[in-house]
Amino acid sequence: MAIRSALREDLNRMTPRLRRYARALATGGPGPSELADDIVHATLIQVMGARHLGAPGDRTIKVFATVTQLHRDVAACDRQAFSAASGRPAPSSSRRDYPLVTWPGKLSAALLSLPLEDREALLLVALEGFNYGEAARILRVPRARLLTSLTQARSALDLLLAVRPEPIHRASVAVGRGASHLKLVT
Amino acid sequence: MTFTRHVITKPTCTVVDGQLPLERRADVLRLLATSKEDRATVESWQDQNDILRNAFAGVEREPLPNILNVAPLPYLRVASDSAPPLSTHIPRKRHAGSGRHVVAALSVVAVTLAGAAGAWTLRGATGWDGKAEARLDGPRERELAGRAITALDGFAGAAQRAARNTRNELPTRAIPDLGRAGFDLVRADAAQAPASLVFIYEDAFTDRVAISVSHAAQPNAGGALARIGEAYSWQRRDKVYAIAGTISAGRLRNLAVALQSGDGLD
Repeated sequence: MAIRSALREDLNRMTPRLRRYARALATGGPGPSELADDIVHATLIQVMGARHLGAPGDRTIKVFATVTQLHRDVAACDRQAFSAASGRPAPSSSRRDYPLVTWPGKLSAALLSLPLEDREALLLVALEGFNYGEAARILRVPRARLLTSLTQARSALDLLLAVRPEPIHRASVAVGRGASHLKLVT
Repeated sequence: MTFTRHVITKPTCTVVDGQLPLERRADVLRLLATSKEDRATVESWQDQNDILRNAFAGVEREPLPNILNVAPLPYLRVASDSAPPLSTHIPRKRHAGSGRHVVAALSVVAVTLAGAAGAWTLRGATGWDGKAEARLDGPRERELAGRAITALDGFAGAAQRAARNTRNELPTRAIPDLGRAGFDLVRADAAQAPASLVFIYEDAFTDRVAISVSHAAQPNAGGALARIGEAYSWQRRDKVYAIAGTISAGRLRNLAVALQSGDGLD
């Protein structure tokens, strides 16, 4: 019972992150999404019914991997339905019609236009803060492939969002996340 | 050129994500210092990270809907050591491996019974003297209990309400046992108006049911199961029961049918 309670507490702490990841995956936006909540709910049920979840670190990997897989299943169903209805292959990404006037709409549309594998890699690393090793385990791909996906996603997003910064004004740029000691001096 | 492309494509990500291996830092820094384009790429991708995190920052702060809230409910703890004798357990054949579950459920029943009695102010009629430290304090439990109590009212009607108001005693000393259906008791509480006891149960998948018990106006041998809104209600001897839950209607009905036939009741 204590182990079960600890698992529940652990999952409950993780759930807001899972929702964020599922929303970003499924809709590309931060707004409420029934589909994303369904995916998270199905994940929680699946994880709580699992016999072996490993150590808490592994648990996080497995839970995010489950969300990823469930979303892939949903996306595959969507593609099949699209093909059946239209008689032609569905696009690989779950593109939707979002108003592009607003910035969140533009971001959502840009994220959704990325190939799914690239989107997953980008969200796990850039949004959820997983290191490359963890993200590769979640996606069940080699690290090199993860880096390729990540690079492709960022390059594509650069074009889609046109977030080219102005010529560098900063006196120094902290490189990397957190308090990196790397500095660029212009 | 080949070396430069390699460095730009892969290490740019590692710089942006702070995962650049120590042994490559000097090389990559040198490259970035000499290439405006690469510096711009690093900055742009860092901006992307910021945009993403800012756009989704609010999601983590949103309250979780009930369906996604799997936090365990604390079990009742009772300060009093004068737990009352129990009459809740109906000996019956159980499937293998459930012994530990039964012991755990009975332990919970023991402390919960005392807790419910403590909340109940009519000690003289029952002799119970427990002190509950946890009651139906969360919105999830209150909503569920409210549904069961509403069903009680809908089933019993005005005559029963009048009868309840004139009787100063607990509707039951027995706590319905849903252990065989996989539910553990997590909350118990008593209400005076309308007078009833409410029990909340939870299973391993955080599904919950609430059972409310009240006095019946006229004792009888038992009536039909009535569906009232999203709850089921029925009478058994001198008590009226109602059950509501977050489970499917079919599963809820099966539970109600089992309880109505006396399985799990005193």
